[in-house]
Amino acid sequence: MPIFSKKAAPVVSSPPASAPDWAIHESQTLLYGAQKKAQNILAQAELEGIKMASESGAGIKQYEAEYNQQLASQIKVAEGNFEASLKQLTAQYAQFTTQLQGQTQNTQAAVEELVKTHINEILLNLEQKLMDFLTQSQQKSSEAITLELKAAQDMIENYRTQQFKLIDDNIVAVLERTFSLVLQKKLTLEDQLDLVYDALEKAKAEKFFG
Amino acid sequence: MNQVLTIILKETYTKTSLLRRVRLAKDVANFALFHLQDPNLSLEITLEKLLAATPAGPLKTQVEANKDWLLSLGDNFFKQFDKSQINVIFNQIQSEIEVLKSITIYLPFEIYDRDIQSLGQWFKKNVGQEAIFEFAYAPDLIGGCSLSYKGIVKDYSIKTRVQLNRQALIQELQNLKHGSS
Repeated sequence: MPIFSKKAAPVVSSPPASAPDWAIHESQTLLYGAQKKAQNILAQAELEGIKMASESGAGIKQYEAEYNQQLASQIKVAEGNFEASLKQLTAQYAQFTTQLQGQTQNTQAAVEELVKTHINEILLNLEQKLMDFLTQSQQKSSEAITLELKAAQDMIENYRTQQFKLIDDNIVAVLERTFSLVLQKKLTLEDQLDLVYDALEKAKAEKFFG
Repeated sequence: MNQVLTIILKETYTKTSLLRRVRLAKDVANFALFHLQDPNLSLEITLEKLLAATPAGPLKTQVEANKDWLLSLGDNFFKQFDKSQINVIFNQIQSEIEVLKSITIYLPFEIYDRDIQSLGQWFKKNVGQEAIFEFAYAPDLIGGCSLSYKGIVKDYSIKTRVQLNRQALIQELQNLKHGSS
């Protein structure tokens, strides 16, 4: 059985689960430092007690009493120190937690702002791409329609040209027929003979008769 | 050229008429030489006797129709033939007719004798005394005429002029169309 019972270390509330790793690490370092200090004090007191017990056999009881008194005193001091350290640590931790909370809120706000900006950029970019796509699609559609229209116009123009050619040929045939009918009726024998003499003179001029 | 043919050609313009008159002249000469057998008879009496001796038919009709022309040949024309040479002369004439300048005229109207004479004189004056022509009726020519000579055809008709101006006519119609649209 140990000479004195070790007092259990007070439970320190653990940092919130959402705290960052570096914050948890810092708080654990602080706790570890306090425990280590307390253990050192206890170990030193125990060593001194053993030493005193071994040095004096006769006056052991007195010494033991002194020892116990000293030990109690040392324990009390240690406990006091420990509690003070703990209080300070707790206060520091609370302050740190508050600060951390503030920082977290700021970070969250910044992240939210960043996300918002990013989303806005994405939306803007998307809108621009959509507009470009729509413009290109519209342009392509317009070009396709223009080509189709041109093809249709060409086809109509070809058809029209062919029809006009047929009409022209028919008109000329009708005109020739009309000439024939009208002139045959209208030309007198004298006119006909004049035309024949004109033709003969022309043939003579062309040396048709040799 | 044979002298007989030259005389006949003087007032003869178409090939048909020439062939007919040569044949007629031969018939009259044969009648005078072989039937009348009197070289002192005048041509007029000879023709009267021929008409009297000939039954109604193509020969009589031809003689009556060409009596004036036959008389225009004169009494001496028939006195140049004798029995031994008449066939030789007319055979020679037939051969010479084949090589005469014969021009075919395609006309879109019916032509009268007086106009034939007028045309014939034009040919005699402008082409040559030996020139003869033939008519063919071609109503589709509308006006003017078409000529055929030595296998070459030249068309001077209104129909051809219209056809030559066909493209110009179409162009004018197109201009009208464009102008009105």
